[in-house]
Amino acid sequence: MTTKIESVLDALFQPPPDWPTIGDLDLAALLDAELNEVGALDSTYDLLALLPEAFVEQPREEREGALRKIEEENPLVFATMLAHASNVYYSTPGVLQKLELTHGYPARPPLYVGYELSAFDERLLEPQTKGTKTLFREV
Amino acid sequence: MLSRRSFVASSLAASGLICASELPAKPGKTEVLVVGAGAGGAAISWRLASLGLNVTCLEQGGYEDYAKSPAADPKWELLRQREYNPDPNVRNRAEDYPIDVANSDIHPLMYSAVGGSTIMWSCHAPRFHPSDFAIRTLDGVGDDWPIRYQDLEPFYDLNESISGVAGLNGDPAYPDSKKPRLPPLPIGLGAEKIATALNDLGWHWWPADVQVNSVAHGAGRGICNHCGPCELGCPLRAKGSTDVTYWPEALKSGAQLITNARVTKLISRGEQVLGAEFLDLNGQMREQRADVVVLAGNGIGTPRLLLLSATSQHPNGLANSSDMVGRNLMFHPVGISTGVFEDALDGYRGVTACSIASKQFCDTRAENDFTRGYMLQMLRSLGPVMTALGGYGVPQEWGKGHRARFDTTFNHTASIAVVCEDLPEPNNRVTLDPALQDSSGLPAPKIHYRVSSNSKKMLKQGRERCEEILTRGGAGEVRHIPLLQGAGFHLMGTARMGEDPKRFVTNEWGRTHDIKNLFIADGSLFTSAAAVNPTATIQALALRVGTHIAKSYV
Repeated sequence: MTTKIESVLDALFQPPPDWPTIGDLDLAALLDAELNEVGALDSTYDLLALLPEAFVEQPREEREGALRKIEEENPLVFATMLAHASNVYYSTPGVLQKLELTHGYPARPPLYVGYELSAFDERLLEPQTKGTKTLFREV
Repeated sequence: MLSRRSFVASSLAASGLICASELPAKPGKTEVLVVGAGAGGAAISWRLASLGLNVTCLEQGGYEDYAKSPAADPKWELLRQREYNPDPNVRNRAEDYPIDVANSDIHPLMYSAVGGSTIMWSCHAPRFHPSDFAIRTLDGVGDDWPIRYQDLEPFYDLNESISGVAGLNGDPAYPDSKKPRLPPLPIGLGAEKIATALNDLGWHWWPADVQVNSVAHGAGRGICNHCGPCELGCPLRAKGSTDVTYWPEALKSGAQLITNARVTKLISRGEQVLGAEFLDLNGQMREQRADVVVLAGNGIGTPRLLLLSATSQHPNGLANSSDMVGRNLMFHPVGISTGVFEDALDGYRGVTACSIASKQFCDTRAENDFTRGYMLQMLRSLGPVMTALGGYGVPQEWGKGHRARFDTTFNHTASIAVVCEDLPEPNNRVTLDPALQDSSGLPAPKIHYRVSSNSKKMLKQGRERCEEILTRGGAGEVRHIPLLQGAGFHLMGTARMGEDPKRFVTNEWGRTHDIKNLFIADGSLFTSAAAVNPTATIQALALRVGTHIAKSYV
């Protein structure tokens, strides 16, 4: 069964049909842990308590509307929740694997593999060196 | 990768490395005591030890444990926000001290460890320009330094030989010389667009001078693999943080490095400093005596320690008869402009915070409504988490528009930082906080700092120039962060050097005017800030001060 927090996350990020669902990613538990770590769990749940009772069953468009209403009334708490939701969503392996497919961004941390880059091409500097006066002031 | 222990064992010949709590109870005695093992403290410790002096350095942090590198953790973008945040108020480790920033437009950033803030440094290491040392003579603002570019040049050379600087000679922004340079790093697709735009506009740019090994350099050090987040520390030891550059050599030369040692005050008698008291990890007070003391605790830690060392003979703090200790705090106010491009730019690849730099607007121009100027420093882009959080000022959407907005911005941005020359103002200062304390109960520093109208005008013009550059480079959308509050990496001016003891804390050799055996070797010394990153100049100054001490005082 979809929980309220999963329905919120789904309305925030609206994963395309070929992406893992919020439930697949077990994001609700991750977000709870994240909010708890920074002391924002209670304020977030107080905020979400303002959502309509039927929120979970509503289509995305209506859920988005309900969320925009509570954002307008509680912008700071909402912004905190959104930031932490973004933290967990975009550091989840399932999402990173999709980003690898769509953007070529490897689904791994930067180390220790690193990345390939083309060597600097000094020809790009030609306009800087042809007939250029010195830029520094003599003292 | 070598673990910390094996690196220490194999590369450091670490007989001089010791944790404070392992010291004998009896006070130590040395010729030169250095406080702080960061950019300046490491350089001067090496210089003094290599010239045959007996040197002991006290560092409040420990040796960085690269086996725990956050850049190798899947949650690296989250760790960067918390445990590895450059802001000590967020990071909140025991070895950090809190900083009261309620009255500051910019929040100081720093790191407490062997290597100091070079651990979290983005490794951009330009030299100051000749005019940066003479702003009173040339432009009628601030004060001239008591030294000139030529005085520092051999020490810039020496520092770069040891640290390893990737870059390219021939930059028209500097006097012609053969600087020690490793081959330049790749600049990446975003910087290529910006460089092309700068060429079209007829404005200067040059590959940035970066303390990173583009090729093999230095014992025990690796070569950059372009992984990106240098600010999380470099387990490859390709970045020139001083824990892998100066410290191994300093220890081999006989320097002693005492870690986890929090200096609480300098011990003085009359016009002489005798050493320092410090706490070990267990809270036990210890003492280190010395003939000469050098402070290298950064532009906030150094004035804090001088103020903490007040005595009945020095009621306003040590070396503070001028009342200038802590005053004239200078940051580099920074704005960021970001272009969103249609092409994917792979901006997550390579050294994040510097690829190319433009010095076109660094100096005073008659047509400007401000004095002095700003550097333009190109930035690469961010990972998915920071992109989603609107990093570098590109707002995101949630709801129906989220996916499209994220997909057109992630990996499609390149940014330019406008790095402004701050001018010295006595009211911008560091004092001791009456209430806030560190984990040892010592008063925390309190920052009083406002961005000047001069800097605000620079930031505004810089924004306009960036808009022009990014648009010319093909960006379809340009966004701005007018002032980045969390950009206080560069801490300068709080114990400035100058000839007049009534207006300056130290003389041209970094020796305090009041206390003849007390020296400073960090950004506190800077008479003015220039519009470029300070680390190379901190290190060159430290080498010069160390050479002077070796020749003159012991």
